[in-house]
Amino acid sequence: MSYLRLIVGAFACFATLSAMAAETEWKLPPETAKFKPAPGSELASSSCLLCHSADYIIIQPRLKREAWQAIVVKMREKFAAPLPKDKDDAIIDYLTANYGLPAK
Amino acid sequence: MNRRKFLLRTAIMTGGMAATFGAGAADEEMIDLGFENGKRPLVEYPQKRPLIRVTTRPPQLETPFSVFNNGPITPNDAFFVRYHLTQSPPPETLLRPDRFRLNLTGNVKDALTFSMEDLRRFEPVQVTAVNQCSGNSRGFFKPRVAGGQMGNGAMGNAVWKGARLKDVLAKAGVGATAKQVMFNGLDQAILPQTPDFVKALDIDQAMDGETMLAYEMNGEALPWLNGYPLRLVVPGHYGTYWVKHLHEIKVIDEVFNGFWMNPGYRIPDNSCGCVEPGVKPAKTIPISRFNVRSFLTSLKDGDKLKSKQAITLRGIAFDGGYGITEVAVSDDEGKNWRTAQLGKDLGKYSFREWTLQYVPTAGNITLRVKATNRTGQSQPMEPLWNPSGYMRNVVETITVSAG
Repeated sequence: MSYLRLIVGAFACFATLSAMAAETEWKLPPETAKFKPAPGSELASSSCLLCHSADYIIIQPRLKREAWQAIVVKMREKFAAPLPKDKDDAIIDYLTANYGLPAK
Repeated sequence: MNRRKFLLRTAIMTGGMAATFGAGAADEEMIDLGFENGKRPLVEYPQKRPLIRVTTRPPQLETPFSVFNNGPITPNDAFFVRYHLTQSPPPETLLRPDRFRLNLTGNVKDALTFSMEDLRRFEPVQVTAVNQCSGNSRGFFKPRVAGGQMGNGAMGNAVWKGARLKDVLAKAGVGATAKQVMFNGLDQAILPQTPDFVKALDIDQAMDGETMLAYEMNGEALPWLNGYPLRLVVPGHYGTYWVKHLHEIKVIDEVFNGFWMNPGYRIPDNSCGCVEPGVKPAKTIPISRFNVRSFLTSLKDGDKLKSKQAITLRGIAFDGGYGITEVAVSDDEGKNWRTAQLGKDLGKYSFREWTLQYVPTAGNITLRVKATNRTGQSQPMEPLWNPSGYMRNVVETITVSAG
Protein backbone atom coordinates (compact mmCIF):
# COMPACT_ATOMS: atom_id res chain seq x y z
CA MET A 1 0.00 0.00 0.00
CA SER A 2 2.56 2.51 1.08
CA TYR A 3 4.66 1.69 -1.97
CA LEU A 4 1.65 2.24 -4.16
CA ARG A 5 0.95 5.50 -2.42
CA LEU A 6 4.55 6.56 -2.94
CA ILE A 7 4.35 5.72 -6.61
CA VAL A 8 1.04 7.52 -7.04
CA GLY A 9 2.41 10.45 -5.09
CA ALA A 10 5.57 10.54 -7.16
CA PHE A 11 3.46 10.40 -10.30
CA ALA A 12 1.22 13.23 -9.16
CA CYS A 13 4.28 15.24 -8.27
CA PHE A 14 5.86 14.53 -11.63
CA ALA A 15 2.63 15.36 -13.44
CA THR A 16 2.35 18.67 -11.56
CA LEU A 17 5.96 19.52 -12.25
CA SER A 18 5.72 18.69 -15.93
CA ALA A 19 2.44 20.60 -16.16
CA MET A 20 4.19 23.60 -14.64
CA ALA A 21 7.09 23.12 -17.00
CA ALA A 22 4.66 22.93 -19.91
CA GLU A 23 3.04 26.16 -18.75
CA THR A 24 6.27 28.03 -18.51
CA GLU A 25 7.08 26.85 -22.02
CA TRP A 26 4.12 28.86 -23.30
CA LYS A 27 6.22 31.79 -24.35
CA LEU A 28 5.97 33.51 -27.68
CA PRO A 29 9.12 33.96 -29.76
CA PRO A 30 10.66 37.45 -29.65
CA GLU A 31 9.37 40.25 -31.85
CA THR A 32 12.13 41.07 -34.31
CA ALA A 33 10.43 42.89 -37.19
CA LYS A 34 11.54 46.51 -37.55
CA PHE A 35 10.66 49.42 -39.79
CA LYS A 36 13.20 50.52 -42.39
CA PRO A 37 15.11 53.45 -40.94
CA ALA A 38 14.17 56.49 -43.05
CA PRO A 39 12.53 59.89 -42.49
CA GLY A 40 9.24 59.09 -40.72
CA SER A 41 10.21 55.69 -39.33
CA GLU A 42 10.19 56.93 -35.73
CA LEU A 43 6.75 58.38 -36.24
CA ALA A 44 5.61 55.05 -37.72
CA SER A 45 7.02 53.22 -34.71
CA SER A 46 5.32 55.47 -32.18
CA SER A 47 2.00 55.41 -34.07
CA CYS A 48 1.71 51.74 -35.05
CA LEU A 49 3.70 49.51 -32.73
CA LEU A 50 1.53 49.90 -29.65
CA CYS A 51 -1.10 47.64 -31.25
CA HIS A 52 0.83 45.48 -33.72
CA SER A 53 4.27 44.40 -34.85
CA ALA A 54 5.98 46.09 -37.81
CA ASP A 55 5.50 43.02 -40.01
CA TYR A 56 1.78 43.89 -40.28
CA ILE A 57 3.03 46.64 -42.60
CA ILE A 58 6.15 44.98 -44.01
CA ILE A 59 4.20 42.02 -45.51
CA GLN A 60 1.68 44.18 -47.38
CA PRO A 61 1.71 44.35 -51.17
CA ARG A 62 3.05 47.55 -52.67
CA LEU A 63 0.00 49.73 -52.10
CA LYS A 64 -0.56 53.13 -53.65
CA ARG A 65 -0.54 56.27 -51.53
CA GLU A 66 -4.36 56.43 -51.43
CA ALA A 67 -4.49 52.89 -50.03
CA TRP A 68 -1.99 53.73 -47.27
CA GLN A 69 -3.95 56.89 -46.54
CA ALA A 70 -7.17 54.87 -46.12
CA ILE A 71 -5.36 52.49 -43.76
CA VAL A 72 -3.91 55.32 -41.66
CA VAL A 73 -7.35 56.95 -41.31
CA LYS A 74 -8.95 53.60 -40.45
CA MET A 75 -6.33 52.89 -37.81
CA ARG A 76 -6.97 56.22 -36.09
CA GLU A 77 -10.75 56.35 -36.46
CA LYS A 78 -11.65 52.68 -35.93
CA PHE A 79 -8.81 51.40 -33.75
CA ALA A 80 -7.82 54.58 -31.86
CA ALA A 81 -4.20 54.51 -33.04
CA PRO A 82 -2.20 57.31 -31.35
CA LEU A 83 -1.65 59.17 -34.60
CA PRO A 84 -1.91 62.96 -34.57
CA LYS A 85 -3.96 64.21 -37.53
CA ASP A 86 -1.35 66.79 -38.45
CA LYS A 87 1.21 64.00 -38.93
CA ASP A 88 -0.86 62.16 -41.55
CA ASP A 89 1.21 63.31 -44.51
CA ALA A 90 4.49 62.40 -42.84
CA ILE A 91 3.44 58.86 -41.99
CA ILE A 92 1.67 58.23 -45.30
CA ASP A 93 4.77 59.48 -47.13
CA TYR A 94 6.93 57.09 -45.11
CA LEU A 95 4.69 54.09 -45.75
CA THR A 96 4.35 54.85 -49.45
CA ALA A 97 8.07 55.48 -49.96
CA ASN A 98 9.21 52.38 -48.06
CA TYR A 99 6.41 49.83 -48.40
CA GLY A 100 4.27 51.15 -51.24
CA LEU A 101 4.21 52.28 -54.82
CA PRO A 102 5.57 55.83 -54.87
CA ALA A 103 4.05 58.00 -57.62
CA LYS A 104 6.46 58.43 -60.50
CA MET B 1 12.12 17.08 -55.11
CA ASN B 2 12.27 20.74 -55.89
CA ARG B 3 12.35 21.74 -52.28
CA ARG B 4 15.30 24.09 -52.74
CA LYS B 5 13.33 26.24 -55.08
CA PHE B 6 10.70 26.89 -52.44
CA LEU B 7 12.61 26.60 -49.21
CA LEU B 8 15.71 28.64 -49.18
CA ARG B 9 17.72 28.62 -46.06
CA THR B 10 18.36 32.24 -45.46
CA ALA B 11 19.62 34.42 -42.71
CA ILE B 12 16.78 36.89 -42.38
CA MET B 13 18.38 39.26 -40.00
CA THR B 14 21.52 41.26 -40.10
CA GLY B 15 24.18 40.49 -37.54
CA GLY B 16 23.38 43.72 -35.73
CA MET B 17 19.74 42.81 -35.19
CA ALA B 18 20.64 39.30 -34.16
CA ALA B 19 22.90 40.76 -31.52
CA THR B 20 20.09 42.99 -30.28
CA PHE B 21 17.48 40.29 -30.03
CA GLY B 22 19.65 37.35 -29.12
CA ALA B 23 20.14 34.04 -30.81
CA GLY B 24 17.45 31.80 -32.20
CA ALA B 25 16.02 33.65 -35.13
CA ALA B 26 19.19 34.43 -37.03
CA ASP B 27 19.01 31.40 -39.29
CA GLU B 28 15.33 30.79 -39.94
CA GLU B 29 14.19 28.72 -42.86
CA MET B 30 12.28 30.81 -45.39
CA ILE B 31 9.35 29.77 -47.54
CA ASP B 32 8.13 31.55 -50.67
CA LEU B 33 4.34 31.68 -50.95
CA GLY B 34 4.47 32.49 -54.65
CA PHE B 35 3.26 36.10 -54.77
CA GLU B 36 5.10 39.43 -54.58
CA ASN B 37 6.52 40.12 -51.09
CA GLY B 38 5.55 36.57 -50.12
CA LYS B 39 8.75 35.29 -48.48
CA ARG B 40 8.08 34.24 -44.89
CA PRO B 41 10.09 32.65 -42.10
CA LEU B 42 9.20 29.27 -40.62
CA VAL B 43 9.04 29.86 -36.87
CA GLU B 44 8.43 27.56 -33.93
CA TYR B 45 5.70 28.51 -31.45
CA PRO B 46 4.57 26.75 -28.25
CA GLN B 47 2.89 23.40 -29.09
CA LYS B 48 3.55 24.02 -32.79
CA ARG B 49 5.99 22.67 -35.34
CA PRO B 50 7.68 25.42 -37.40
CA LEU B 51 4.87 27.28 -39.18
CA ILE B 52 4.85 30.07 -41.74
CA ARG B 53 4.84 33.32 -39.81
CA VAL B 54 2.69 35.98 -41.42
CA THR B 55 2.81 38.40 -38.48
CA THR B 56 4.34 38.41 -35.01
CA ARG B 57 2.00 40.47 -32.77
CA PRO B 58 -0.75 39.47 -32.69
CA PRO B 59 0.37 36.16 -34.18
CA GLN B 60 -0.79 34.95 -37.57
CA LEU B 61 0.75 31.64 -38.63
CA GLU B 62 -0.12 29.50 -41.61
CA THR B 63 0.30 25.82 -42.28
CA PRO B 64 3.02 24.78 -44.77
CA PHE B 65 1.01 23.45 -47.73
CA SER B 66 2.86 20.11 -47.80
CA VAL B 67 0.99 19.18 -44.58
CA PHE B 68 -2.26 18.86 -46.56
CA ASN B 69 -0.82 15.93 -48.50
CA ASN B 70 -0.38 13.88 -45.32
CA GLY B 71 -4.03 12.98 -44.77
CA PRO B 72 -7.39 14.64 -44.24
CA ILE B 73 -6.81 15.63 -40.60
CA THR B 74 -4.55 18.59 -39.88
CA PRO B 75 -2.43 17.86 -36.79
CA ASN B 76 -2.82 20.29 -33.88
CA ASP B 77 0.82 21.30 -34.05
CA ALA B 78 0.42 22.27 -37.72
CA PHE B 79 -2.94 24.06 -37.45
CA PHE B 80 -3.02 27.72 -38.55
CA VAL B 81 -3.29 30.61 -36.08
CA ARG B 82 -5.00 33.94 -36.53
CA TYR B 83 -5.56 36.66 -33.91
CA HIS B 84 -6.75 40.26 -34.13
CA LEU B 85 -5.82 42.04 -30.90
CA THR B 86 -2.38 42.76 -29.53
CA GLN B 87 -2.78 40.93 -26.20
CA SER B 88 -3.13 37.56 -27.90
CA PRO B 89 -3.09 34.80 -27.00
CA PRO B 90 -4.22 35.61 -23.44
CA PRO B 91 -1.70 34.68 -20.72
CA GLU B 92 -1.87 31.13 -19.47
CA THR B 93 -2.71 32.35 -15.94
CA LEU B 94 -6.16 33.48 -17.15
CA LEU B 95 -6.87 30.13 -18.80
CA ARG B 96 -6.14 27.69 -15.97
CA PRO B 97 -9.09 25.48 -15.00
CA ASP B 98 -9.31 27.02 -11.50
CA ARG B 99 -9.54 30.50 -12.98
CA PHE B 100 -11.29 30.14 -16.33
CA ARG B 101 -15.09 30.60 -16.42
CA LEU B 102 -17.66 30.98 -19.19
CA ASN B 103 -20.36 33.54 -18.41
CA LEU B 104 -23.75 33.33 -20.09
CA THR B 105 -25.89 36.47 -19.76
CA GLY B 106 -28.43 38.60 -21.60
CA ASN B 107 -31.95 37.57 -22.50
CA VAL B 108 -31.96 34.27 -20.59
CA LYS B 109 -34.07 33.05 -17.70
CA ASP B 110 -30.99 32.36 -15.56
CA ALA B 111 -27.61 33.95 -16.12
CA LEU B 112 -25.09 31.17 -15.58
CA THR B 113 -21.37 30.70 -15.02
CA PHE B 114 -19.64 27.51 -16.12
CA SER B 115 -16.27 26.03 -15.26
CA MET B 116 -14.67 23.70 -17.79
CA GLU B 117 -15.75 20.85 -15.56
CA ASP B 118 -19.37 22.06 -15.78
CA LEU B 119 -19.16 22.20 -19.58
CA ARG B 120 -17.80 18.67 -19.77
CA ARG B 121 -20.96 17.44 -18.01
CA PHE B 122 -23.11 18.31 -21.03
CA GLU B 123 -23.50 15.42 -23.49
CA PRO B 124 -20.25 15.52 -25.51
CA VAL B 125 -20.55 15.67 -29.29
CA GLN B 126 -17.96 15.42 -32.04
CA VAL B 127 -17.66 16.80 -35.55
CA THR B 128 -14.91 16.65 -38.15
CA ALA B 129 -14.88 20.14 -39.61
CA VAL B 130 -12.72 22.47 -41.64
CA ASN B 131 -11.81 25.82 -40.17
CA GLN B 132 -10.75 28.32 -42.80
CA CYS B 133 -9.77 31.95 -42.43
CA SER B 134 -11.97 34.36 -44.41
CA GLY B 135 -8.81 35.74 -45.99
CA ASN B 136 -7.17 32.41 -46.78
CA SER B 137 -5.24 32.84 -50.07
CA ARG B 138 -5.57 36.66 -49.96
CA GLY B 139 -2.00 37.04 -51.22
CA PHE B 140 -3.10 35.66 -54.61
CA PHE B 141 -5.70 38.38 -55.19
CA LYS B 142 -5.17 40.44 -58.34
CA PRO B 143 -5.26 43.35 -57.90
CA ARG B 144 -3.77 42.82 -54.46
CA VAL B 145 -5.65 44.00 -51.38
CA ALA B 146 -4.42 45.00 -47.90
CA GLY B 147 -4.79 42.56 -45.00
CA GLY B 148 -3.13 39.40 -43.74
CA GLN B 149 -1.13 38.24 -46.77
CA MET B 150 -1.66 34.49 -46.63
CA GLY B 151 -1.04 31.72 -49.12
CA ASN B 152 -3.36 28.71 -49.07
CA GLY B 153 -2.39 27.56 -45.57
CA ALA B 154 -4.91 29.41 -43.40
CA MET B 155 -7.17 26.37 -43.27
CA GLY B 156 -7.24 23.05 -41.47
CA ASN B 157 -9.47 20.09 -40.69
CA ALA B 158 -9.84 18.64 -37.19
CA VAL B 159 -12.08 16.47 -35.05
CA TRP B 160 -13.70 18.88 -32.58
CA LYS B 161 -15.30 17.69 -29.37
CA GLY B 162 -17.38 19.69 -26.94
CA ALA B 163 -20.86 20.61 -25.76
CA ARG B 164 -23.66 21.69 -28.07
CA LEU B 165 -24.18 25.44 -27.75
CA LYS B 166 -27.89 24.64 -27.94
CA ASP B 167 -27.74 22.53 -24.76
CA VAL B 168 -25.84 25.20 -22.85
CA LEU B 169 -28.25 27.94 -23.98
CA ALA B 170 -31.24 25.74 -23.14
CA LYS B 171 -29.94 25.27 -19.61
CA ALA B 172 -30.05 29.06 -19.14
CA GLY B 173 -33.42 29.33 -20.93
CA VAL B 174 -33.39 31.65 -23.97
CA GLY B 175 -35.97 34.46 -23.97
CA ALA B 176 -38.68 34.43 -26.65
CA THR B 177 -37.55 37.73 -28.19
CA ALA B 178 -33.89 36.70 -28.61
CA LYS B 179 -32.47 37.58 -32.00
CA GLN B 180 -28.72 36.97 -31.82
CA VAL B 181 -26.04 35.54 -29.56
CA MET B 182 -22.76 37.39 -28.98
CA PHE B 183 -19.41 35.69 -28.34
CA ASN B 184 -16.33 37.23 -26.73
CA GLY B 185 -12.93 35.72 -25.99
CA LEU B 186 -10.16 36.66 -23.57
CA ASP B 187 -7.87 38.10 -26.24
CA GLN B 188 -7.64 41.85 -25.75
CA ALA B 189 -6.58 45.10 -27.33
CA ILE B 190 -4.26 47.39 -25.43
CA LEU B 191 -6.29 50.60 -25.90
CA PRO B 192 -9.79 50.62 -24.40
CA GLN B 193 -11.13 52.44 -27.49
CA THR B 194 -10.04 49.63 -29.86
CA PRO B 195 -13.08 47.46 -30.63
CA ASP B 196 -12.94 44.16 -28.77
CA PHE B 197 -13.13 41.06 -30.94
CA VAL B 198 -16.79 40.13 -30.48
CA LYS B 199 -18.82 38.10 -32.99
CA ALA B 200 -22.51 37.24 -33.25
CA LEU B 201 -24.68 34.51 -34.74
CA ASP B 202 -28.42 34.54 -35.35
CA ILE B 203 -30.33 32.70 -32.63
CA ASP B 204 -31.49 29.99 -35.07
CA GLN B 205 -27.93 29.17 -35.95
CA ALA B 206 -26.84 29.21 -32.31
CA MET B 207 -29.64 26.74 -31.57
CA ASP B 208 -29.08 24.48 -34.62
CA GLY B 209 -27.42 21.74 -32.57
CA GLU B 210 -24.24 21.87 -34.66
CA THR B 211 -22.63 25.00 -33.28
CA MET B 212 -20.35 23.75 -30.53
CA LEU B 213 -18.42 24.90 -27.49
CA ALA B 214 -15.29 22.85 -28.18
CA TYR B 215 -12.68 21.88 -25.61
CA GLU B 216 -10.92 19.16 -27.59
CA MET B 217 -9.26 19.10 -30.96
CA ASN B 218 -8.08 15.80 -32.45
CA GLY B 219 -8.43 14.09 -29.06
CA GLU B 220 -6.39 16.61 -27.09
CA ALA B 221 -7.05 19.87 -25.25
CA LEU B 222 -7.09 22.80 -27.68
CA PRO B 223 -3.60 24.21 -28.24
CA TRP B 224 -2.98 27.55 -26.53
CA LEU B 225 -2.81 29.30 -29.92
CA ASN B 226 -6.05 27.70 -31.13
CA GLY B 227 -8.23 28.87 -28.26
CA TYR B 228 -7.43 26.87 -25.12
CA PRO B 229 -9.44 25.97 -23.12
CA LEU B 230 -12.68 26.71 -25.05
CA ARG B 231 -13.61 27.95 -28.50
CA LEU B 232 -16.70 28.24 -30.61
CA VAL B 233 -16.91 25.80 -33.54
CA VAL B 234 -19.29 26.82 -36.32
CA PRO B 235 -19.08 24.00 -38.89
CA GLY B 236 -19.07 25.13 -42.51
CA HIS B 237 -18.51 28.77 -41.56
CA TYR B 238 -15.43 30.96 -41.80
CA GLY B 239 -13.00 31.03 -38.89
CA THR B 240 -13.95 34.58 -37.90
CA TYR B 241 -16.91 33.09 -35.96
CA TRP B 242 -14.83 30.43 -34.19
CA VAL B 243 -14.12 32.71 -31.21
CA LYS B 244 -11.12 31.50 -29.20
CA HIS B 245 -10.65 31.53 -25.40
CA LEU B 246 -14.42 32.02 -25.31
CA HIS B 247 -15.48 33.41 -21.94
CA GLU B 248 -18.62 35.47 -22.56
CA ILE B 249 -21.84 34.59 -24.31
CA LYS B 250 -24.70 37.08 -24.36
CA VAL B 251 -28.17 36.57 -25.79
CA ILE B 252 -29.49 39.81 -27.31
CA ASP B 253 -32.76 41.08 -28.81
CA GLU B 254 -31.19 43.00 -31.69
CA VAL B 255 -28.62 42.54 -34.45
CA PHE B 256 -25.13 43.14 -33.06
CA ASN B 257 -23.25 45.74 -35.08
CA GLY B 258 -19.83 45.82 -33.41
CA PHE B 259 -16.79 46.59 -35.57
CA TRP B 260 -15.93 42.94 -36.32
CA MET B 261 -19.49 42.33 -37.64
CA ASN B 262 -19.92 45.73 -39.33
CA PRO B 263 -17.91 46.99 -41.16
CA GLY B 264 -15.50 44.09 -40.45
CA TYR B 265 -15.81 40.71 -42.15
CA ARG B 266 -18.43 41.61 -44.72
CA ILE B 267 -18.84 40.56 -48.34
CA PRO B 268 -20.80 42.02 -51.26
CA ASP B 269 -24.48 41.10 -50.94
CA ASN B 270 -24.81 39.01 -54.11
CA SER B 271 -24.59 35.36 -55.08
CA CYS B 272 -20.82 35.37 -55.72
CA GLY B 273 -19.79 37.68 -52.87
CA CYS B 274 -17.79 39.50 -55.51
CA VAL B 275 -17.49 42.77 -57.45
CA GLU B 276 -15.42 43.99 -60.38
CA PRO B 277 -11.89 44.79 -59.15
CA GLY B 278 -11.75 48.26 -57.65
CA VAL B 279 -15.52 48.64 -57.30
CA LYS B 280 -17.05 49.44 -53.91
CA PRO B 281 -19.93 47.04 -53.17
CA ALA B 282 -23.34 48.74 -53.06
CA LYS B 283 -24.51 46.59 -50.13
CA THR B 284 -22.69 44.15 -47.87
CA ILE B 285 -23.64 41.29 -45.54
CA PRO B 286 -21.63 39.38 -42.92
CA ILE B 287 -19.44 36.63 -44.37
CA SER B 288 -20.90 33.22 -43.54
CA ARG B 289 -20.50 29.82 -45.23
CA PHE B 290 -17.46 28.51 -47.15
CA ASN B 291 -17.74 28.25 -50.89
CA VAL B 292 -16.40 25.14 -52.67
CA ARG B 293 -12.63 24.63 -52.85
CA SER B 294 -10.30 21.88 -54.00
CA PHE B 295 -6.55 21.44 -54.09
CA LEU B 296 -4.03 19.15 -55.68
CA THR B 297 -1.61 18.39 -52.84
CA SER B 298 0.70 15.73 -54.26
CA LEU B 299 2.38 18.00 -56.82
CA LYS B 300 3.57 21.57 -56.80
CA ASP B 301 4.52 24.08 -59.47
CA GLY B 302 7.76 23.14 -61.19
CA ASP B 303 7.75 19.45 -60.32
CA LYS B 304 9.29 17.18 -62.95
CA LEU B 305 7.49 13.94 -63.86
CA LYS B 306 8.49 10.95 -65.98
CA SER B 307 6.42 10.79 -69.17
CA LYS B 308 4.29 7.69 -69.75
CA GLN B 309 4.77 6.64 -66.13
CA ALA B 310 1.51 6.44 -64.19
CA ILE B 311 1.29 8.42 -60.95
CA THR B 312 -1.47 8.96 -58.42
CA LEU B 313 -2.64 12.55 -58.18
CA ARG B 314 -4.13 13.32 -54.80
CA GLY B 315 -5.65 16.20 -52.96
CA ILE B 316 -8.48 17.55 -50.84
CA ALA B 317 -11.84 19.26 -51.40
CA PHE B 318 -14.39 20.86 -49.07
CA ASP B 319 -17.39 23.15 -48.96
CA GLY B 320 -19.71 24.86 -46.49
CA GLY B 321 -21.38 21.65 -45.38
CA TYR B 322 -23.52 20.34 -48.24
CA GLY B 323 -20.86 17.74 -48.97
CA ILE B 324 -18.50 17.24 -51.92
CA THR B 325 -19.99 14.99 -54.59
CA GLU B 326 -17.41 15.27 -57.36
CA VAL B 327 -13.79 16.25 -57.95
CA ALA B 328 -12.45 16.44 -61.50
CA VAL B 329 -9.06 17.13 -63.04
CA SER B 330 -8.23 18.70 -66.40
CA ASP B 331 -4.89 18.89 -68.21
CA ASP B 332 -6.19 20.81 -71.23
CA GLU B 333 -7.27 24.23 -69.92
CA GLY B 334 -10.60 22.85 -68.73
CA LYS B 335 -11.84 21.47 -72.05
CA ASN B 336 -12.02 17.91 -70.71
CA TRP B 337 -12.35 16.78 -67.13
CA ARG B 338 -11.64 13.38 -65.60
CA THR B 339 -13.54 12.42 -62.48
CA ALA B 340 -11.39 11.58 -59.48
CA GLN B 341 -12.10 8.91 -56.91
CA LEU B 342 -13.32 10.31 -53.59
CA GLY B 343 -11.72 9.07 -50.38
CA LYS B 344 -13.40 8.14 -47.12
CA ASP B 345 -16.36 10.33 -46.17
CA LEU B 346 -15.53 11.86 -42.78
CA GLY B 347 -18.68 13.98 -42.74
CA LYS B 348 -20.05 16.85 -44.74
CA TYR B 349 -17.90 19.49 -42.97
CA SER B 350 -14.59 17.64 -43.42
CA PHE B 351 -11.84 17.71 -46.02
CA ARG B 352 -12.68 15.02 -48.57
CA GLU B 353 -9.63 13.32 -50.00
CA TRP B 354 -9.47 12.47 -53.70
CA THR B 355 -7.12 10.49 -55.94
CA LEU B 356 -6.75 10.02 -59.67
CA GLN B 357 -4.42 7.81 -61.69
CA TYR B 358 -2.63 9.94 -64.25
CA VAL B 359 -0.19 9.21 -67.05
CA PRO B 360 1.74 12.33 -68.07
CA THR B 361 2.80 12.90 -71.67
CA ALA B 362 6.08 14.68 -72.42
CA GLY B 363 6.11 18.46 -72.24
CA ASN B 364 4.63 21.14 -69.97
CA ILE B 365 1.46 20.11 -68.21
CA THR B 366 -1.07 22.42 -66.55
CA LEU B 367 -3.32 20.58 -64.15
CA ARG B 368 -6.58 22.07 -62.91
CA VAL B 369 -8.76 20.68 -60.14
CA LYS B 370 -12.42 21.47 -59.59
CA ALA B 371 -14.94 20.22 -57.04
CA THR B 372 -18.73 20.25 -56.99
CA ASN B 373 -20.99 19.92 -53.97
CA ARG B 374 -24.40 18.33 -53.39
CA THR B 375 -26.24 21.52 -54.36
CA GLY B 376 -24.32 21.82 -57.64
CA GLN B 377 -22.07 24.66 -56.48
CA SER B 378 -18.63 24.50 -58.03
CA GLN B 379 -15.57 26.70 -58.57
CA PRO B 380 -14.96 29.49 -61.10
CA MET B 381 -12.22 29.14 -63.74
CA GLU B 382 -11.29 32.82 -63.21
CA PRO B 383 -10.83 34.22 -59.69
CA LEU B 384 -13.58 36.34 -58.13
CA TRP B 385 -12.61 39.61 -56.44
CA ASN B 386 -13.85 41.60 -53.46
CA PRO B 387 -12.25 44.52 -51.61
CA SER B 388 -11.39 42.56 -48.44
CA GLY B 389 -9.76 39.60 -50.17
CA TYR B 390 -12.18 37.00 -48.82
CA MET B 391 -13.50 33.67 -50.12
CA ARG B 392 -11.00 32.94 -52.87
CA ASN B 393 -12.07 29.70 -54.55
CA VAL B 394 -10.79 29.78 -58.13
CA VAL B 395 -10.07 26.44 -59.83
CA GLU B 396 -6.45 25.90 -58.74
CA THR B 397 -3.76 25.41 -61.36
CA ILE B 398 -0.46 23.57 -61.00
CA THR B 399 2.13 23.61 -63.78
CA VAL B 400 4.59 20.73 -64.01
CA SER B 401 6.59 19.12 -66.79
CA ALA B 402 7.23 15.58 -67.96
CA GLY B 403 10.24 14.27 -69.85
